[in-house]
Amino acid sequence: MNDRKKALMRVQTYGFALDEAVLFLDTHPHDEAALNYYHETLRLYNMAVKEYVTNYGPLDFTHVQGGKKWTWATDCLPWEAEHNVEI
Amino acid sequence: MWKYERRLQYPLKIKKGDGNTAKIIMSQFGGPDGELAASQRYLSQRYAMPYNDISTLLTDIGTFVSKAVHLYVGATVFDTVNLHFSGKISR
Repeated sequence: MNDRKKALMRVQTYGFALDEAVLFLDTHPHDEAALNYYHETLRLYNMAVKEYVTNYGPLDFTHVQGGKKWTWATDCLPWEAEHNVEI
Repeated sequence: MWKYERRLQYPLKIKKGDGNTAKIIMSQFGGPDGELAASQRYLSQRYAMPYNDISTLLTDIGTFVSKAVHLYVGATVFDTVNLHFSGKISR
């Protein structure tokens, strides 16, 4: 797996863990362990996003780096084969 | 309000396209009992929810399901595109 795909996979992993933490906290708002898990996962997720967008491309439209191209519209889309783990 | 993240929620890795699998996945995605319709129900019904925490829960579940829906579409596209190029199109 190339480096871009590894970096994307880290974003997906922490993003998924974050989704789960959010859903759990919605029904357990005072759970201290869950709150700690959320903060740690959020920290890791933000780091993974920062690494991906600095090196490979935007994940949302606030991530477009300075330059000559509107990369938000020109990068390949997540349902296309080359954006994902090897087929 | 939503912000779109240009990635799938979960990585997708399909080795071999299959028309029957594509049909099954599409049936989960669309139609009256499909995930797409479910996501819209969650997101529309939260406005009538009198309890804020449950309204938040409906928003978060609706958002999560909307993300999952991309996987269904992605998997169906991969399945059918692979089939087309391999020359075996199922009816």
